[in-house]
Formats: sequence, C-alpha cells, structure tokens
Amino acid sequence: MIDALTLARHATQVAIVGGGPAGLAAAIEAARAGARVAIVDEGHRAGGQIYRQTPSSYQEGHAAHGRPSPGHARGDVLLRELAAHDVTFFSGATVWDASPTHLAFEQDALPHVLACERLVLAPGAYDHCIPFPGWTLPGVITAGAAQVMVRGFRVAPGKRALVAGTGPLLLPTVTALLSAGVQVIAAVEANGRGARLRAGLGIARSAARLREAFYYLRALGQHRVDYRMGWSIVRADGDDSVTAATIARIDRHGRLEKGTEHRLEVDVVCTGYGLLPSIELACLLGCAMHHLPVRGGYVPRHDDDMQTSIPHVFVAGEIAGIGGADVAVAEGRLAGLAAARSLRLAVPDADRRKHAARRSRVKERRVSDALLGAFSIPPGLYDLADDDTIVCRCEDVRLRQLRETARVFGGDLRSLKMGSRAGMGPCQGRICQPAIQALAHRRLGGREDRMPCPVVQVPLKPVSVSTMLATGPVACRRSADS
Amino acid sequence: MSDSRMPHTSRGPRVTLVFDGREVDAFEGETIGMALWAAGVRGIRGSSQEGKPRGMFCAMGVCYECLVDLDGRPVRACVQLVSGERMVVTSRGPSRGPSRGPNRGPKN
Repeated sequence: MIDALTLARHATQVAIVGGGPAGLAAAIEAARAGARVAIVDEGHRAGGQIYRQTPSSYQEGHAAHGRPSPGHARGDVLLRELAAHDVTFFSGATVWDASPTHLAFEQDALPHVLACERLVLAPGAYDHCIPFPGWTLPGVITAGAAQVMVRGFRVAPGKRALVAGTGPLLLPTVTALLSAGVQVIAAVEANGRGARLRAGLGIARSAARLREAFYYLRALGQHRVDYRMGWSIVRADGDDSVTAATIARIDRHGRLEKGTEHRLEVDVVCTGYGLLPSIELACLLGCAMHHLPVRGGYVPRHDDDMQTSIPHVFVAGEIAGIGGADVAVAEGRLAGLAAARSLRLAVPDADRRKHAARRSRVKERRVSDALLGAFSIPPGLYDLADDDTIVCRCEDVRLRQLRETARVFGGDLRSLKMGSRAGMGPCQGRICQPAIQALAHRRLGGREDRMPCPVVQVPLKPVSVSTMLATGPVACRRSADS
Repeated sequence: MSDSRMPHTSRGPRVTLVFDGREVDAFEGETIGMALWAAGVRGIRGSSQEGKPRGMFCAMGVCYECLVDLDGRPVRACVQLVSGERMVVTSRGPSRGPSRGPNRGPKN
C-alpha cells in the first residue's frame, strides 16, 4: 500500500548539500554576508566524514583518546565558526532529486522540498573499492567505515585488524584503529617505497601536512605496526564473518609474487583505495564535466568562484576533485562568497577573503595533487578477484557471470550492467562500477580504458514511492511555487 | 567489557534494540548499525540472491549493505538512529532463491 504523505516545504537563499568542511565553509561565508543558509546533510551532525563529531549526547575528554590529529583541530575551529552563525541544518536527510532552484530530500521517511536561490554542492566522496575473494564477508569494511566507528561513535571496529589498500588515507585509518585500542596486525600499502618518497616531496612545502604525516608515522612507530609497502591483501576468509586474511608482496604492476603469502588471524579488515568524488548531483543537474584522473575521474567544471556551467550552481570540495579538507575549506569559502555576492549582499571584507581563499585553494590543490599523484592503483590488483568473487555486492553478481555476459554482449560497462544486473542494485553502482570498468578493460575485453561519466537518474538514492509521489517532478518546479 | 564501545566516553540514555528477537544495548545518538556492531553482530542481512551473510561495509550510507527492516520499510542501519526506549528491527533475506545465510528468507 502506498501512503499519501504530505510534502514539507522550506525555502532559503543559499542551499548547501553536505555539511563537511566544504559545505560548512560555504555556509559560514554566505551567512556572514547575511544570506539565509540551509545545509542538507545525510549525517546527523555537522562535520562530514573528515570532521565527524560524536553524537551530541556523548561527553568525553580528548585526553581519553589521545591528542586529536592536527587536521582535526582545524575542524574544531571551523565548527566553532559555524556555531556563531544562524544556519539551518537538515540532518539525516537524503537528497534524491534536484533542480538549480530546488532540492528534494527524504528525512525520517518523510518528503521535503527546499527551494533556494543559490545552490552549493558539497556532497563529499566515498571509498574506492576493489573486489577480492572474501571482500563481501561481514567484518571486511572500508577505511572510511573504520573512521566512522572510531571517531563518530567511539566503537572499536575489532580486536585484530588488517589495513590494506593504497593512498594517503591508510595512515589515519591505522591511527584511528590504534586510538580505539585495536591491535593493527599489519598495514599494507600497494605502492612501493617510491610512493612514500614522492608523497614526501609532494607535501614538503606544506608545514601542516608534514606535521600531520609525522603525527601518523609516529603513532605507527610507537605501536610497532607492521607496515609494508608493495604488499596487498589477497583474500579474506571466514564463515559468518572474517576470521583471517592473506597478504602477499606484489610487484609494481600489482602482480602477486608467488610464495610471499602470509595468513593473518584478524577479525576486521579495513580496505581503502583512495576516494571517489560524489558527482551524481552535478550529473543530474547537467553540469559540464571534465576528466581529472588524479582527482578521481569526472568532476564538474567550474570557474574561479567555484560556479559550474549552470548559473547559480556552485561546487566545493571533493565533488570538484579529491583534494582533502584544506582544499574543501578554501573552495567552500569561495563558493559561499560568490553565492552571497551574486545575491547582491554586501560581504564584509569580501575581496581580501576571496583572495586569501584563492591563494589557499591553489596552494592546497598543488599539494594534494602531488600527494595523490604519488599513489596509483597498480592494475594487477584487478586480478585478485577470481571467477567466484562477487563483484556487484547488491545483486550478487560474480565475475564469472560478467565474463559470460561479456562474451555475449561485449565488455563495455553498459552491456555488462544490462546483461548481468551488476550495478542495478540499491547502491546504484557506486561501489562496483569503477571496479567493473577496470576489470572489464583488463580481463573481459572491455574497450573503455576509463570510467565513463555516469548517466544518473532520479531517485539519486532509493526513496519510497510515497516520497516521490508527494514531491512530484522537481525539475519542473519554479522558484515561485513555494 | 562485553561490548566494543570505547571506554571514557559517557553516552546518552539507553535504548533497547531488538534485532531478530535478540536484545542489545544501544544509546541515543547511535545508529542501529553501530549498536549492532558494538554488540558483536557482524552479519545483519542475507545477500539479495544467495542469502549469504552481509554486514556494514561503508558505514556512511553509500553501499546499502546494512539494510534492515524497521516498521516494514528498509532502512540503512548505518545511518538510521536508534530511538524510543525499545526499537525493533528485523533482518532482510534474499529477494529470491533459497536462504543459506543467518536469515529466514523473504518476508511475506
């Protein structure tokens, strides 16, 4: 039965999707100029993933969990700055449709529409995943999930952990686990020592990032974590949840070196292969996109004020390309300032703030590009999945089925999806599609050598039919109707 | 300590979470997924075709691996907050095919 629901209507001047560093910085700048501002966020408190806060009912001293990392101290400053302004925060809200003047979201199973004059997209990013045998076992989680558990809820992800993958986020994952009292049995980075050197050179001119790197490395040293570069997870094993994992040395192409396998008894495996920008909203709105491999693939184009090809629609942070929290803050400030200025609001000190944010953006982008460029995914990691490995978790599609589909329909992403249902489940392909594209190109005769720009459809995330019926077609809404 | 919550943090009021008949402690502000994880529950769903155990994976609302039934509707355990004094959720089984996981198969 479909319930008839009442649509809750809201209006604001500047609507911001995402309450992480980019969204918060945009909100602060726009509110400072006197704009009415509303943030719509899927989480329950401001901060996003990187500056995630514990629930408001929790009380603790930082002393209990060690000093916060230098990066998180910067997040506290931002959250205090936000608290000084009157900004509406829609929490636990899933945005599923949008136009440049409206956001449709579901909150507690109820439909909402937020009308706005300016729209800032700052939805962040999510973990890039690579399938391997056993990756669907409960207890195998993303690096981001480990951070959520420890920093967001003060829950230890396990007792004995393996951290595996590649990229600069592995280190903070390890320190988060250590701070929760988890024994990190090993941390394996797929790239070799050359990556560490390149990463070090990349951040050499940023005192803040160097401090952060030393903070992480010191924690690894203090806890004598078995940290290996040029190693990868090979498989995870267990019946109802993970009880063991195997690691092995890989060459620089990511190919396994036979005979180097080690089996580790662990009860949690945290994997991270970098981040992917959450671009779905920009795709839906029809923003012009371009391909920036180091920053995570297709991202919306924007001008120096962070405005996209669509007037009054801005982007900030990871959606504009993976770059980390400091980039996000600078871009958020630029977007917030530009949104306020375009509303003809007098922004105090606007030029100075804009130029400071631009300088910061350029500098931080340069550093993060160099850091991310030091790590790439060794293509041999896509050989880890065997025919029995599930690649699409939602629809239980195994590599064998993709191989059979490719034989009949060809190895392009669209044919594989239509022929196997891979990518048609509730995550809408966010988890599997990049990996399937790479698998197809390497092993199934697929010709696409990079992930195509996704064709997105409403709803952007699954919502109830009742919500959709009550909301109606957002794209047709005029600003005047609410 | 019987659960994996970190010490030195005082939490909000208690909520009893009932998952497939099993009672676990939860605290206001926690998500369903986090309360289950803290209680040691890893597999919370049977996969869509084969009914194999699945659990929380991304913990941030992207992967939909942690769907549970709440009042007859599917919710992501990792983003749905616990609420009330007592909250009842049930696991979801495969949409078709035999269940071999910890679940009792599709609901009628």
